[in-house]
Amino acid sequence: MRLRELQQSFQNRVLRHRRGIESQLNDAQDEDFEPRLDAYVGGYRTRLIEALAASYPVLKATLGDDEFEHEMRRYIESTDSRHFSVRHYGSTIGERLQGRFSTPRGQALTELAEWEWRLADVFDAADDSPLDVRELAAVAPLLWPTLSFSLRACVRWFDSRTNAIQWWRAANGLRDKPDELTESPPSRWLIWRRGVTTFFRALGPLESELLEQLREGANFRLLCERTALEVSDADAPQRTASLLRGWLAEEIILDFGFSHAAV
Amino acid sequence: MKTLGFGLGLRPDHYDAILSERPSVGFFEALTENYLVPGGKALQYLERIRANYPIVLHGVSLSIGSTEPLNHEYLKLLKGLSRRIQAPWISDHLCWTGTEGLNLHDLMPMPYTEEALNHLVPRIEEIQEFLGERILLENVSSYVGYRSSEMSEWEFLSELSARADCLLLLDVNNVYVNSVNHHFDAEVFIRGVPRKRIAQIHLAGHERQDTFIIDTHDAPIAQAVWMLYQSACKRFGAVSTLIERDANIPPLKDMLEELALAQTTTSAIEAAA
Repeated sequence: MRLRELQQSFQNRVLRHRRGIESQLNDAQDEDFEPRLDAYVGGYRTRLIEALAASYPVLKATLGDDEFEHEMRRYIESTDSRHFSVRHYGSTIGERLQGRFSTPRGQALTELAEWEWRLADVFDAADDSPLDVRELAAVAPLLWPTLSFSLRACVRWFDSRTNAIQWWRAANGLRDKPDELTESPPSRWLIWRRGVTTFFRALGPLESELLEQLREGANFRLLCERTALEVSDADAPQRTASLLRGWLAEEIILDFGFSHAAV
Repeated sequence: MKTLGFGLGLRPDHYDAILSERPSVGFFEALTENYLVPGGKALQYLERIRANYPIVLHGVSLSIGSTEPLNHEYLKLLKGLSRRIQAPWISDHLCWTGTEGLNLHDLMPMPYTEEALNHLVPRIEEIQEFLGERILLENVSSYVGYRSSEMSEWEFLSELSARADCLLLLDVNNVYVNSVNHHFDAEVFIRGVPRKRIAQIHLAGHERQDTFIIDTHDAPIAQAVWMLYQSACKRFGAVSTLIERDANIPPLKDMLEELALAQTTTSAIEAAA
């Protein structure tokens, strides 16, 4: 058997339990041959389950060791790893759980998995430096309506329709544990990193819309126009500037430019 | 290749202790794939530790033996990381990790054949050309052997390193594990690999099953491996030596105590020479 076929055959044994490689290996009749082969076949699954447990610690604690392992084994049999780093394996666990459970708890488990993955995504997002508020202070007042902003690479948001985030916070000792994982009113959460620490907080409707528009390139004038739907025209610039000051203090803004474009 | 003395595998469990205690360690070895990320905590720690120690890179996903084309995206990231931390050298394993675009996240063994040599040599040459330096390839533990093998593991390593002009990372634990699993004399292996190609030595713990051994890196180094390390020291002289631990990771001070044993072993052999 040529090298290519040999590797395909061995890989098929590990991934699909398909026999064939045995005839190419020494001592296949020995009593300890299957345990030796299992160092590869079983070892593959053990390694991936360990990696998934590291990526989804609260999901694992919620499901319990046995159910977590059961669900992860199902996932592993249907989802091959294509990335050079095992840390990237398991990005679709949440999606897969959605198909497994139709109950409100199932929906919350899906969200819990997606939340944990999003946190990991923020954890190793690209390093960049937040905008220093003093740079903005140098901008002439006449130019402020045209100011547009970009967000740091680590900034994400997360839409929730369950109490999965409260559940996650309780598991990490940050608040009391809800009675059960279930549906809850829709909310949007901002997630970002300062230094090596990940932060998150809930966003109100106005702030959420403004951040979305800001990310799409809206300038300060457009942001104020959106704010004016909530407060008086006279108060809109001050309210918008106040939110902007908060984002700068939280270090989610990367840079600014000047834009006349309508969004 | 410059000798860096005695080092430890860099693990997140030890980041803070390394920074606060500044232990007397010759170098650290970082697991390449853990740092091929855009940014974040791991990279920031790597940079901070790099300020005080040389850090070599040790990968698990080069898949040098795979019949898949080389992953150039991976190689670009590897080169970038190596430049960023000024890694004294880059190592990976003599194995394949997957084919058809998949990754088994395991160090799958190669058959020791002329065909495999002909496959490996140009790939190593291409990588060395791209990186602008010779790489180190490590002998891996294996639990099964191929019927098609035409030579011993040490003959294969010798031929490969000579033809591709690459260096070898000799994992003494893996030599011992394979000597039990494939019934050969580990001392013959040590005598059979070319002295001038050995640029680094690994030591680690393993787990004994009924009739074979699994390379687990989850325990202290076994006595039999220490004995074999003595033979390696006698044959290869002063070679950068590193202890790996990937599970059941003890406090840094325990790892330093084990590392001191490696230093004592080498010193005793140098004194006797």
